[in-house]
Amino acid sequence: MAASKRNLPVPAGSTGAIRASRRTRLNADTSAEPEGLTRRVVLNFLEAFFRRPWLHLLPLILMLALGAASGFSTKQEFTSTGTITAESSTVIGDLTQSNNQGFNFDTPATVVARNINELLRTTNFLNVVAGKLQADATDSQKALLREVIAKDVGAGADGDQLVRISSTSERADLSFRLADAVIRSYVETVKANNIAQSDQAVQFFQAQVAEADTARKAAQAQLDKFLVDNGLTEAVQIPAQQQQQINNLQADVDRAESQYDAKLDSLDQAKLASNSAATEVDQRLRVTDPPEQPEAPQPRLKSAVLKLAVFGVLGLLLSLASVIVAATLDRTIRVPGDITAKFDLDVLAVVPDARAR
Amino acid sequence: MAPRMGLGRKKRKAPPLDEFGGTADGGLAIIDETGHLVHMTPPRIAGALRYFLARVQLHDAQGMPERLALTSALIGEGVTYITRSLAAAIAYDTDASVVIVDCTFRRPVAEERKDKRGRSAKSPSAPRIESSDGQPDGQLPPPDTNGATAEAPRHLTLADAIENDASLDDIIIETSNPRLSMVQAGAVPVARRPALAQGRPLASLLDQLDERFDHVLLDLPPVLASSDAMNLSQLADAYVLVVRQGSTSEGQVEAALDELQGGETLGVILNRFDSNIPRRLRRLVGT
Repeated sequence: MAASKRNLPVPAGSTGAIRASRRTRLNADTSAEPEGLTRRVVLNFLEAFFRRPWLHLLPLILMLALGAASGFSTKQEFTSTGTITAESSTVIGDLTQSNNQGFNFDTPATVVARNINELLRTTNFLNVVAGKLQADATDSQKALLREVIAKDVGAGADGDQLVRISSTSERADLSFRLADAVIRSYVETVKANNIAQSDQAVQFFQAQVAEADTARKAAQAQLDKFLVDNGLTEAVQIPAQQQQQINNLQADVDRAESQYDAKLDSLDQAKLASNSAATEVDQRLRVTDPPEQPEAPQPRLKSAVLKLAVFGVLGLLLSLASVIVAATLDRTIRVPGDITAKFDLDVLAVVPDARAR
Repeated sequence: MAPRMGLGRKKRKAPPLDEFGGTADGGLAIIDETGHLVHMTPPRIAGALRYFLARVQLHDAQGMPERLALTSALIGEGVTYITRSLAAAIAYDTDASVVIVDCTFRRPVAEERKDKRGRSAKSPSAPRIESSDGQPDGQLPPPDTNGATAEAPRHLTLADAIENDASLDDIIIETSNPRLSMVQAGAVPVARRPALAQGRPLASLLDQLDERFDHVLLDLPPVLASSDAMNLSQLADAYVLVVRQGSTSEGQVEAALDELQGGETLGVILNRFDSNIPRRLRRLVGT
């Protein structure tokens, strides 16, 4: 016989009243406020990870292995470094008023380092360097050397005035020769450019002076001719009208004289600059520490650790991505918060799996 | 009391039970009048359902509904298991009487055999739709199978009462706990189930059960597997959706809730919850 119904406290209202008010939240602790959302997302990610931890750790492990293999299997490398001191002004530059090297906001070292790196991307400069490395190189050898130089050599600023030109190679002698050739080629290129520019300036001003001289002579000739034609060479009293013409012609002569003098000054300046161009470059770019042939290879541990760290970070990102993908693709209910957030329903009980630990 | 195991199940040493089917560690058992162990709830699961009871009774203005339906979106989410465990907890922990009404009707044997022959001709491994308790076979007692095999033919069923006018007393199965009773679903052809679910006889029968018991727990079939659940859920004051962790998708839960829109939702029971996150980390996250 079934148990008879007991007189338990019966809720007020009919069944309909119960139905009308049932769908109220029983407890507020599972609400979907932003904090709850964060926790739910974190829990879902953690659930996704711990469901298949080794699968998600696999990218990290593989990348670490790859990084270790790559870091510790690299061949030994030698680095040779030379240092150039770059000045923004020189004594000769001050004297010849040619100290305008474009160091406006950048430091001299930055400009020179950038200039070297830019030149290392030009075939002409690389050919110059290749010629210093191997004078009798064929075209194909030069092409190979150009590739090696562009790959292995680089310049960087160290402070305001120091520029370090480094070359890294598997051979100690090659690294030294590369750095040395690049430094010498750079200084020579700058020097040649300066001299060429100065010579062009001299030629330009020479032409200008010749023109001014011709103009000066022509003006003087006109004045002389006027005086002779009018018999005024020895006259004491010159009529006012003729005096006015003489004054005008004399002014032309004076103007031509002054232009001639100015051009002559510029020519002198250009000649001075041309003569001092090589010396000025020597003063502005001084090879402070010439490169030396390295005796020992670069320590590999640092680069290996760096590679390991880079690969480790990549692996970590991949592992993280796999967890995020797994958590995003899994649309099943994993945590109670999924129900409260998605359906605004109360989770009345979380019944554990009997087989669970 | 030394309960006997259900039919066809591996016998195990059962824990000592008190006269109402409780174990010393908080577990709960349902033992029928013949001494068969019908259902066993381990202490951890009983604890979770006690939390459910306390929460509903303390926080909800209406307390525990008189007629509560339990259903799920899919098969195998553990509705039967949760229903029986919840009923055992109510009967053991409170002085309220409770009856479990199994509403998952079986197919008549003849229909099932015919269908099985048809399927085996097509594909021998075709999946069978059958009820599941959602908890592992390997735990203490034999898991129940929606009353289909374990407590077989001695009792008349709900189907008998509706279709053959069997009396209420004949269909109620007593258990060792005088406050807990059960009613089996019985076999009904698939074609007749919608009419039966919506029919007056079933509603009348449930009204009679209401008069006898403080709580009537309806063990409903899955919503997305059968249309019966929608009709049957209308007979309850409220329903609880059982969701199995890591099995039911959000879309399926949403679809089930859409299907049950006419009824009042009490909430969700998250079943078979097993977090893979280490306990220390869980504490750190604050769960």
